[in-house]
Amino acid sequence: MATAGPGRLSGAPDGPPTVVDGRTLRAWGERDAARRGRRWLPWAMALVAGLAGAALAGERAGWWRGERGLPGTGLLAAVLLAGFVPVMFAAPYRMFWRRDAGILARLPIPGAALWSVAIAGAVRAALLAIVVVAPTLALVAWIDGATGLRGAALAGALIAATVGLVPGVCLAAAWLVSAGKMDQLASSVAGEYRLENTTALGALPGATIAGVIVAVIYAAPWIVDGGAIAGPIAAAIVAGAAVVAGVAATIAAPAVYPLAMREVAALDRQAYAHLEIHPPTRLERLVRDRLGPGAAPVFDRIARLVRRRYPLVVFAGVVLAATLIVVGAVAPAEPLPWLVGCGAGAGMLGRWLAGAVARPPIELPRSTAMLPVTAADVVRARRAYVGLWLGLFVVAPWLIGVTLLGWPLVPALGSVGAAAVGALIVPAGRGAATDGH
Amino acid sequence: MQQPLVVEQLTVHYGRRCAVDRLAIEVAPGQIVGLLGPNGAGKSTALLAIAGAVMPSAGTIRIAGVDLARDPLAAKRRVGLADQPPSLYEFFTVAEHLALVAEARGDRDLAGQRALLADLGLGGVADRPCRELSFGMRQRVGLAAALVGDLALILLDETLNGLDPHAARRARAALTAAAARGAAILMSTHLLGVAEGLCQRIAIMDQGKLVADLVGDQLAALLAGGPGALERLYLETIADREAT
Repeated sequence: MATAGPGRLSGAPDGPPTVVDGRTLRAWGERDAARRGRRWLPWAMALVAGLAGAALAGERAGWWRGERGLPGTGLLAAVLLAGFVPVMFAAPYRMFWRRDAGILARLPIPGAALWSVAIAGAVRAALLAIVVVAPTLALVAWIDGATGLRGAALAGALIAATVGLVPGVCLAAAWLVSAGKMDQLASSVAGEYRLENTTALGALPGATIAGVIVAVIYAAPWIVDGGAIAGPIAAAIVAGAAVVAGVAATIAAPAVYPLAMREVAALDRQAYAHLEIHPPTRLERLVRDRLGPGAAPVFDRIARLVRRRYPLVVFAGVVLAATLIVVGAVAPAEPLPWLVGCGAGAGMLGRWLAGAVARPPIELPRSTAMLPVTAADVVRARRAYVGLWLGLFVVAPWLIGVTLLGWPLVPALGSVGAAAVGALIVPAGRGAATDGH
Repeated sequence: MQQPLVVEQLTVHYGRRCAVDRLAIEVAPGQIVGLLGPNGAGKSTALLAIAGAVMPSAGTIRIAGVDLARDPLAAKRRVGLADQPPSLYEFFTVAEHLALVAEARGDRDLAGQRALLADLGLGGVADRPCRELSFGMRQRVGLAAALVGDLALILLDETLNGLDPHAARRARAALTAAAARGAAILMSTHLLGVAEGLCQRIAIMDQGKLVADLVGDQLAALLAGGPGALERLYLETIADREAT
């Protein structure tokens, strides 16, 4: 044997222990991402979305007809939300539902380093969102500097929410779960009612993001008219909450983050997770029972695992459905940006979900290959699940919304087109080749 | 010298199920302990909890004198775990993955890491991505990651399963060398022959509890019973619940 092995290494065994810092951890992540390839794709997607938003704004404001008008409140709000909401929803996946969570959870990595990587990821996500909103805001600023500045101020609040508020809430949610505080919190608020841990992991960040969406909708008229005081107040509340959450999380991260990472990383280890698997809902059972004996158990498994592993997909679906119905009920002067934004979001989410149900940890190709189900059964089950998600959260609410609006042709077709574009630009993703996690 | 591992009253619950029930065990420097038990006995959970990858419900774990709950960074720096299946950076090469784990433990001795890979028969695949490896190769990479660094304690969860005879021999040699340098080794296995040949101590878990612990003269007397003695002890200690 060579001299390799334990008891021989550590450059300075008597000196201060070497600690992996955020820079090293980021370098690992960068290398892993580079090997996986297609790192340019999110930037290209953001640029396409940004140019599309600017083109839409130009069309609504008459720029292409030589006029120097301004786009409406609804369109500006929709562009801001289209840029920032997707990256905010991705925060838990950047922070603890990472591919390498199982490795990071057991290595001696300080919480401060993990938090620094989370913040770096959030800054990158905010930059992506800026690429989406910048073309529209730049054109607005070119027409009217003050309006552009107010739009930039609201975007600034959203940047703060992306970098500070949402990561801070994600960390708090994971800590509540890992420390077993969720049950205590739920029982103190609702007595005997028991809030499931999985629900907390999705609901707390989701509710925060929903609050940010409401704040933007509330503040948006201020961008155009500049007079209402409610706009700056809403933006200031979001920014202030972001600063408080960011500072609190930075202080707590060294102690809390490794615990949260350890517990949430256990999600992928089915046997070790403290979280619950729920049986399919009544609606899911209704679909499952019509799939036949081959596809039904596959559908059953997908339904059980998706809500547990990707609760935010369900939450995002509820947000999409609510937005579509509310837009139909409120009938804004410009429904086009809302419908197009929802369509693009639905297309991207649907495409992502279609990829997720075909990859570990939802799908284990090697295990499935050994079961007495045909490949066609598996495909049918996946399509049925994604179809159910789309039908429940997109198609039905879209029909309700568009019917309430009186079937406006251009916005309706625009939303369908945006959904198609959204589905096309989202990659199917590349998972590990094995059934391991 | 501090005991590499001292576990007191370790308890782990999954919801209402008690996976590990007041486990107490100490492992001395250089000692190789075989942890036996039926599927679901709590072996993997105990190893994960000792490695800091699962939160205990109660009890204390000290790695080389460091309380895992009070100073997890210092404790984790002295413990290596090869779990099942191995957690690997799929798009990193074998050498890169090992270097990453080593760096986290404060070890930047690349030559030593290369030597460790060679010892385990991984020299030829050091520059191949982990995702391209076979099951046995992945097991060995997981073992290498569990061995690298200035470790007081090495935990193996069924790591010697699925290795070909040459690879198994290399793995046993690497473990013996690690123990000779003072590291304690706690390995769960169902390979009773491996446990007999490699371990100086045999512990048996059942339903989350330690139900047998043989060391020194006791183990020597048992093994003097010839081939199959450990299997007989196991079958006598653990009831075959599926048959009842």
